[in-house]
Amino acid sequence: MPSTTEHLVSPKKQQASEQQPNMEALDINVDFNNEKNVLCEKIIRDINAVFLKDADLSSFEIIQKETNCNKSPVVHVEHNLGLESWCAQHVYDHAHRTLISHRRQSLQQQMRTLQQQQQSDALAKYLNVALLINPDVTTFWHIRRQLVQKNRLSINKELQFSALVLSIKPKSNEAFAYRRWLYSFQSADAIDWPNEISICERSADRCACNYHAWSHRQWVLQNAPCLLQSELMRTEKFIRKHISDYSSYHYRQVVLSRAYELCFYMPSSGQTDDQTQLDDLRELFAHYDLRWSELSDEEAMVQLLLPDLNRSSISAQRLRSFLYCCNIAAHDMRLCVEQRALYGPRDCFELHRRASLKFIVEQCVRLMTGLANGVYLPQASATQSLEFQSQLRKFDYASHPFLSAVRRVESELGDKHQRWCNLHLHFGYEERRV
Amino acid sequence: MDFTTFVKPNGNGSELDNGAGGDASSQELQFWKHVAYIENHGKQEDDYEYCMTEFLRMSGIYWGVTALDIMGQLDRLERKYIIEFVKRCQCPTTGGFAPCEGHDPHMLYTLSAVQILCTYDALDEIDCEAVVRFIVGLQQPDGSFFGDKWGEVDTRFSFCAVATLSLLKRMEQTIDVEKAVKFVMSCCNQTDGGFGSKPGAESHAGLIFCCVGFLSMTHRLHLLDVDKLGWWLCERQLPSGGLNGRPEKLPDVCYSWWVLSSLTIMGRLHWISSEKLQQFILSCQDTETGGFSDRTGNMPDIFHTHFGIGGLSLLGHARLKPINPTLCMPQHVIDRLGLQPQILERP
Repeated sequence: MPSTTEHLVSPKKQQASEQQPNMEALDINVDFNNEKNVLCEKIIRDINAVFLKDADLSSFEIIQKETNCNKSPVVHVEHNLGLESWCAQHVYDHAHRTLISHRRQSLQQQMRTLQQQQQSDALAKYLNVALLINPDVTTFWHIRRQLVQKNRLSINKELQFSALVLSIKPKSNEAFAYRRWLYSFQSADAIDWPNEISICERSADRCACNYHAWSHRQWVLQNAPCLLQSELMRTEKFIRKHISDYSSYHYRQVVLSRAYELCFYMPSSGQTDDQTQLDDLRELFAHYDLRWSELSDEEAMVQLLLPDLNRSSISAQRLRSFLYCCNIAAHDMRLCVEQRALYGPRDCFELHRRASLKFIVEQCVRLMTGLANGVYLPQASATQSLEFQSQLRKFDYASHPFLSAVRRVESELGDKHQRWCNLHLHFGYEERRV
Repeated sequence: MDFTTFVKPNGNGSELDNGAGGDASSQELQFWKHVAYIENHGKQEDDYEYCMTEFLRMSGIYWGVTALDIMGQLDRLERKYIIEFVKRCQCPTTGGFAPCEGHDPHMLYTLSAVQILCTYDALDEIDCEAVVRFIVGLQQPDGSFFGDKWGEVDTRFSFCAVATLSLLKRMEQTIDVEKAVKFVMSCCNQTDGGFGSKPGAESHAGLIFCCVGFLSMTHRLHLLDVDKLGWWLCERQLPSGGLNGRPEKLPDVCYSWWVLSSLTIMGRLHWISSEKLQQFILSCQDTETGGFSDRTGNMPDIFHTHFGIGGLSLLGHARLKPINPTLCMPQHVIDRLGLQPQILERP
């Protein structure tokens, strides 16, 4: 066991061989006398050949195979690339050494390498392999960024490569961050946003509670609000299928907030009128023991939710969006109850039902207290949210027919739920001492 | 991670281990085995893990150094070699620190490097002004921080920035603290009082630690909704006693740190069952090799070992020195530096 610091920080051996044939056109010393290195070079070349041959490579995986069977460990089947596990660590080690040697050259020398096509191609070949095996190495992604800046790698190819990395590591924040960086060179209307959503969804589907995939999806939504409607549909499908993936419920809450913020609603399709469109809200009223007959039309619903509202202060569009978004929240509340009946109690059902309830109650209070302007998003500034909290604390629920019904019926859901309602909605239930 | 090179010759403390096996011992801290585990970490030079984790080596050293100091065993590592290594990782152009030579400087490793040097009382070994310039240069007009020049934003980097500057005692008159606070608060979710990595991102215990720690260092804890956030954090405790980092996830030893330190800073440590959590953390020890894993029965690693020891220290374990909840460093180091991150009193 060596007891100096040298192997901790710099593998000295990689610098040992000075006079080697420059076979790979990269001014880095690779020891070709070493059998293992020759083998690694060959495997990396084989992988590169697949990259060159197949422009539609869509997935990469490490195939579990412990021994070398004397045939190429690189498998290429129908746009899928595989590498047998026995060689992965050797190949990574080799690519890693080569790349780090490049980084330890002088800055001028590094620049020369980046600028020359042949050398940068060679660099890219090692980067591909290294990042497919170990996608967490930020520095390697940075070298790709440098190559993009020098026009040595194309943006489209890089989008494809990062998608390939996501096929093996759906949680790779480096890959998502790289995609955002690449898109910064393109104009928003030239970007295929639905495809970006598909990549997020595939990553989220393969890896539960995939934080980075859902954050990236929020970034997409921020840039492409035209996706609101389809996102409302897709997220419902997703939460029905992945019942315990809270990240997807949270994202749906964000979509709803964003829809409300942007005054979004779906225009009614003529013959159905508002009757079926706001059905979930009607059912919610029924759940809270509020009489049906008065609620036949939209106007009556507004009257119930926002009695004595000063209409001149609120646009028709805002009101329609309010009804539309509350209807979605009501829909989700019922969905959570149904799912609970089907699958048994789960945190997700409880948390998402509460978030939906909170949405309805808070938006009612906001509009009633005239605090609506600019405070639609949950991420209001600290002062705005403090101001809203004090309004909520002061709000007279008893005088509000809908909210007093909500408060009455929700109290039936137990002590803990009551405490939650007191904390978040200031319902003022009497707390029992535990 | 490789600590072999930092270990002094004859440094073998395992003879003091009582050596008891079986269920009873798993509930006792395997003190000397953990010391040996950290000392021996990454011993095989051509260890694949060693090569795969090179990109976070600086943080790995910080985890090992901190855990050993908390155990009162820091002198098992060779101070001189570690400081030399850290010095070699400072980027002469930007002033930031890379995780290892050949890699790029980044906010994350800059904090780890400064934490290591503070623990060794060796800040005078590096160019601190260059570090300050690196961090100041990464603040954005909205108050957020990039992790490096390539522009990724995350509340983790806000934490790293103020933690590093606090340790260097340069937080005033360098960055725009007001704006930095505003950005962090814009990442607070009104639905649960928690924080995510960016505005709108899901609440996450690790990022809550970063934001609560950030507010502790900038003395802005009054901005927290302690009751809502405390509720969410308490819900992280599962029947096993362990804590998860988000709803419906499995418990994990590293969250014992992130949740626990946040509750400690908020003066609400008593809101969870310390006893059950301690049992869970101790059940994640590897009683053969030493070290802690994420969950009972898994393979140990240096990251979870650090957070396991840190969590036990916060819970007041008798054999461990106190740890500072905000900076995740030995309290005696924070005292020596004269730093006083804000902590709320238990009501």
